[in-house]
Amino acid sequence: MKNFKWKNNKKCAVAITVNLNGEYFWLSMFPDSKNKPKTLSLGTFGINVGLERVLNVFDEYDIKSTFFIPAVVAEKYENKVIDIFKRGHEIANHGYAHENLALLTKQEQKDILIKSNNVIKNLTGSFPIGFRAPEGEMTKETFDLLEEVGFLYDSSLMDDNRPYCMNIDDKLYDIVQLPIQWQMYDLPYFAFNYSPAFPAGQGRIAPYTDVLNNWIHEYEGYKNKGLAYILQIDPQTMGTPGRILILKKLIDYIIKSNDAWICTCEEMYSHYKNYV
Amino acid sequence: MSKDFGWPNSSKCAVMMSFDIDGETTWSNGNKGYENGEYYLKSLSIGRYGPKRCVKNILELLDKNNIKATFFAPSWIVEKNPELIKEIALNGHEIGHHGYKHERFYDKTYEEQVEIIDKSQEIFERVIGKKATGFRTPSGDWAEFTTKLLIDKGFKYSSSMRGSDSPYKTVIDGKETDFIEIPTKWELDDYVQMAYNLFPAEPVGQSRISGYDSVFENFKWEFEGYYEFGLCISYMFHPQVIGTPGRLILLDKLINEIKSRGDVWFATGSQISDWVRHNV
Ligand SMILES: [Zn+2]
Repeated sequence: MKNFKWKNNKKCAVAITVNLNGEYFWLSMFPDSKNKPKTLSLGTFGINVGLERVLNVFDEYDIKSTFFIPAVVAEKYENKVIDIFKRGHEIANHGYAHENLALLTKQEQKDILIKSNNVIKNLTGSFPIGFRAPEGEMTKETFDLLEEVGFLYDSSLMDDNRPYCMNIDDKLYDIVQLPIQWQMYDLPYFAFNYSPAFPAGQGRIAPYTDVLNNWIHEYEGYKNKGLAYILQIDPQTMGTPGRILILKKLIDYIIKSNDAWICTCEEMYSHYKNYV
Repeated sequence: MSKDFGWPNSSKCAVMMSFDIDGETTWSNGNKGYENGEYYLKSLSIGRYGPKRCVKNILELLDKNNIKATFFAPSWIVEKNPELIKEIALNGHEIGHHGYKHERFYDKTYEEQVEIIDKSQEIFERVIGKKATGFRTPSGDWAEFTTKLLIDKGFKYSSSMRGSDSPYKTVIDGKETDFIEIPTKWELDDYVQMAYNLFPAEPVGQSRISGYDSVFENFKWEFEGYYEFGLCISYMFHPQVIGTPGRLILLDKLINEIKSRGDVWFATGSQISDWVRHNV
């Protein structure tokens, strides 16, 4: 794309996005855990403790973020989600109960998208424009539905480092893809449980400094190449007293570089749309 | 056991930079156990990232450092990305054989292996105007008869085994042949340290993505050792893994540290195997 520039002539764009999965991360992966309060408490920690810490960091640095929220979390923790919205953040769709969409029929997927959009509209007054597939899979059917239901962007795929227009099997979509990468997500580094076992082989929790350095190395690369750095965090993993300091270090580093346009997914989408 | 290779230009050791452009193939193969798994777009996108975005950045980096590398590509990837593969070849890099859709040769009959090889060589001829002479076995093992088949099909070398830390003449029926093996190692493989997916799980036990600094430090330690013993180090990278913006900066640093030694021979699989065939 010729003449493409990020806003304010910054070298790169940075979106620090939140997946507020709560206990539904565990419930969707291990349905048995509905009777396991200890396991579920890993998720509710995110909403009851981690969330406020993350929101305070955003306020401190005057950052607006995009929160991808399973609609059942928005129903169950309505006041928390209204607070997120009132503090100026974007609310986007992340399924109803964090379903693995590829395992459902097309009709089931459609019902979920419509139902969850309605829940979000009831809280914020408008339908979300963005979607991120719950951790799990999606197929072309899912994209057909996203388009049908009226989403403007999706942030689930991992085949690029900058926004692009969706094209699957030579079918062009209006949806813009804001691609993500596993190595820029706290959950794969930090989530842990003995029983049910996560990760499957119970690999050790990653050293925090390694994670911070990986994120900084990637930031340097994204900055040099003028890309869109989209970080994912979940307050249940990022919101511990120690890890929130890692997040602050990263944000400090990015802000001090003075090279990044820090934005929401909606802003990134709108800016990109000016060029296509 | 350490041989005197007497590398060209009195170099102390040889370095083979190899990149396996597996693209979507490993993911669609890996997802086959799931209904519709071949159409799981998220994991496929992890693979597509390689040919779509990373290869070009790697070419730029190699060019900047004036290094010729070896790219092993399933010929399905060659078919899908002919312009990219032509560009690699035009830049003076070697393109090696890596199956059609990254099939596990161990599970294939003789006839099936012949079919995969012939079909792929046709694609290579069509896209880059010549057949591949190097082979890297996709997804694990090959069958016992595969070595002989590769020789019969005109291959000059393979880079598939793990049993040594330098190239050697393959022995068949007790006799040394001209077919050279350039072994590589898991500890020189970026996929092992950094490839990841939550569902379907990669790696199976979902261990963590390693800290980049530690990974590259390991790569550097191994180089130090290969250099000291005068061997041939064969790094096995995957564009979809090594090609992220951050990791490329560290790869550039590693290359520069290796280059700063001065007496190191960066070479392609063909160059190394030719040297070993005639000089060792
Ligand atoms: Zn491969």
